Amino acid sequence: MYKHSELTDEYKDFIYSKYNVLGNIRLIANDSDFENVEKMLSTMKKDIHLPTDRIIIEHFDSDYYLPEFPYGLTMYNLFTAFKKLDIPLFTMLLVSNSFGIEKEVQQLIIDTNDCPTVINTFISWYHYTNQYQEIEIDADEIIMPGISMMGHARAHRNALYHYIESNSLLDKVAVTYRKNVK
Amino acid sequence: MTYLTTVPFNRINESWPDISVSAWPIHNDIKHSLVSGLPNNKDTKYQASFYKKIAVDIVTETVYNYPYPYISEKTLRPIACKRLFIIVGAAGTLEILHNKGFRSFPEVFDESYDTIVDPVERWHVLEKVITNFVTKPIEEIRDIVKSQSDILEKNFINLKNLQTTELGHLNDKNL
Repeated sequence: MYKHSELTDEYKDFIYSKYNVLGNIRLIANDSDFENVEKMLSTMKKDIHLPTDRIIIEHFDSDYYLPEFPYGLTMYNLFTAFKKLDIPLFTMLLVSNSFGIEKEVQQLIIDTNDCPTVINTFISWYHYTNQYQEIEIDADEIIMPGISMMGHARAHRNALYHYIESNSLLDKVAVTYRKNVK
Repeated sequence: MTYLTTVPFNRINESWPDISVSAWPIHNDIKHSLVSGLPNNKDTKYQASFYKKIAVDIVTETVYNYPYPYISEKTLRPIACKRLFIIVGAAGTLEILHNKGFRSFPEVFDESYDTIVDPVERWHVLEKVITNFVTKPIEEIRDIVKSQSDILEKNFINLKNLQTTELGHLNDKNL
């Protein structure tokens, strides 16, 4: 279902040119099985890590947050796996489209001299393409004020749809929605 | 040290905070006749030709009640299609876009919603923003789009160049 990496070739080339990459882990494909993440990390662990060694952690999915728990569960489990294996955290190169995840990282580290590197970007092959086509803006072609391509069912999408429908705006906003199949 | 688990659809944003707004699941697939192609088809995921018929994309990002802005292809699509956008997502999303060199539309929309952390309060501002715009006469909406065309063009160019720009910044920071 998922490619091995979500990073674009350009991003990968850049990171590999800067660091000695020991491996990469896509959290979206593994966040329900951290025993497996631990296994993957164990194959990347070295007896002595060089300052340029990095393990790329691709974090392009939303996390699970619970009331009164200060971290996302995926982030918490990720750091737990590093700690269980005693892999220094400086080897972690976290690439994330959650802007502000550094705050959580800062709370999860123990030694401020042993910190992951964080890159915040929404550029991944899943979210971005280098093949955007030039199009012309012709406002006279507009026949509908709005569109909302909602995708999979989520609470805020349900709420927006109900708002649009109950306020008789379905002739003003073209909506697509996919019922929850799980 | 043990790993914590949760069940699917237990994300914090799955619990809807405002009981005055219904968030009950919808039991049917919905697809407006204006929309062509399959969901997430590569022909419509990044850009879609039917966007030329609409003025504003009301983007329902992956998350709404969430501690961080989360930006996906859903936010990038109206930029790629040179359209206006309103973000039904986490607070601070517009600010991140501004930091990435994009411009939004404060002359058209009350964008104070982006600064409102409280999800319920933000929701009610968004309702007004959406309703105020989509109920305008279509001629007025076309004029608004024309008035914003410089921003739409610049945003598109910024998007096309974004990867090169970002990698340049990372290189400058000697990451």
